[in-house]
Amino acid sequence: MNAKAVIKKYTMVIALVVVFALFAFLTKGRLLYPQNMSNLLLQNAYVLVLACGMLCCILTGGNIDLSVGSTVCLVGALAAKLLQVTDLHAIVVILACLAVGACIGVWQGFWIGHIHIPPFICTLAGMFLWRGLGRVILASKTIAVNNKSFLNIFASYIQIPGLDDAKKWSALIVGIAVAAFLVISVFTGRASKARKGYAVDPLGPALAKNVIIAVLVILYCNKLANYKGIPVMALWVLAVVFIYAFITNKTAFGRYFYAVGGNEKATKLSGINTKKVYFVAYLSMSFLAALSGLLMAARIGSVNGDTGSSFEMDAIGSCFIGGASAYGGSGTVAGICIGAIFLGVINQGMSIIGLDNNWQYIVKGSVLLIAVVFDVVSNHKTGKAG
Amino acid sequence: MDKEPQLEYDVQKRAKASTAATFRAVVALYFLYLARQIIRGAMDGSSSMSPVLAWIAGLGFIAAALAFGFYTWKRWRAEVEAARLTPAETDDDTETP
Repeated sequence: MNAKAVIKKYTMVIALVVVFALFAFLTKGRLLYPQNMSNLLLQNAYVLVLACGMLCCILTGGNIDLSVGSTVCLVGALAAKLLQVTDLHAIVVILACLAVGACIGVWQGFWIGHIHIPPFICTLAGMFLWRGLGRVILASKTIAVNNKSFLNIFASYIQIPGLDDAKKWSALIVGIAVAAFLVISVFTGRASKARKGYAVDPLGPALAKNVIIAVLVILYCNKLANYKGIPVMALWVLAVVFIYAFITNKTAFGRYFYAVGGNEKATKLSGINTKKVYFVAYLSMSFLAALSGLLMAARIGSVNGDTGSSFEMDAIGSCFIGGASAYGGSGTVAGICIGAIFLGVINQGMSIIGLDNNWQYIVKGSVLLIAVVFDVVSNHKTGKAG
Repeated sequence: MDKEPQLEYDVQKRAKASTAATFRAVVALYFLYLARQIIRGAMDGSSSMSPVLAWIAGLGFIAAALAFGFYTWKRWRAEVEAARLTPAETDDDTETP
């Protein structure tokens, strides 16, 4: 693979590295402080979770869900209210809130999948409906979330007695284990392919890629080890990302999302229940929005009527920048993760610098504008419009 | 009177074009959202940015939204046109009994 092909394939990764280096320079290295590296994940956990769900909606044919921010508000409000006025255990509250998210998904999935209401219209209505209900629950107030059990489930850190008393060695051990797995998987994957008679790619590039990722994982986990250790929220995010990566890559149902987005009629004629595919896409999106609501409530420690504002835009922006649709209609969980981390680094860097809100909007818009220009120029060069 | 031939499209290409167009349209709307936030921040005093600069930036994003929206529409039309099947591709191969 020549240099040009490598650059084309890893454009977003290179852009992420450049942006990271730029903000590390602009913040005089403060971006690399352990606390900021830990916060980078925590502040963008909701984007990663939402972007996974949004990917499934987008894959069904460019459809989006505009109601996710409002669902975050409603579920966050419900959780805060239940924890405040009832004696229910945190786990019961969490299950109830996730059930509410699933009900919202059933409602929207039914109208979209079975009645064929355009997703834009249905989720636009949901955007007003769910936020309105959230504000009714909150009675236009801000409710604090103080329940220790609830906060431990989402906003605490892994703490192993004896191991994590000073430096959080568990974080470093996990990092080293993951790094070792990444390197070993290159060899085991190649051996498995060779045994089955498949053509095997050259060892160098695959090993180099995994070694680089392994080193970054160790460095990041070392940062976490020097702060408070692995945040529990990271485990939630990784669980969602891995589950959705598995579903979209390794399961037949996951491939149905791509099939419906490519050619719905042919997919239906081949015997796949396309209504069910749409239904599941919106059900899972609302469920993940509910989970994001719980993560946000625990992270911020309070919920108000504006919680979740513009979250859908952040998720869609991550998908666009990560290449979910604009560059050929296909998308991967890895791509949107890179898009989400990209926006997250920019947000974090600007916060550390202390940039005014308006300047932050200008920077975000400029980044999106660059992605747009890239999209237009690449189309012009390949002449795809003709 | 002969019937007008039905327009037929490569379904996959047309779906792809519509998918990409929807996405681009949302991005254009996001530019409008950013413009609104910037201008509102300057008007209500919640931002320290000078109102003139905020208006320039806001109008810039509005212009970007309109330009990208127009580009999205043109590109969608071109891609849908490109997805149209030629008469040779739509000819029925079966023999007339």
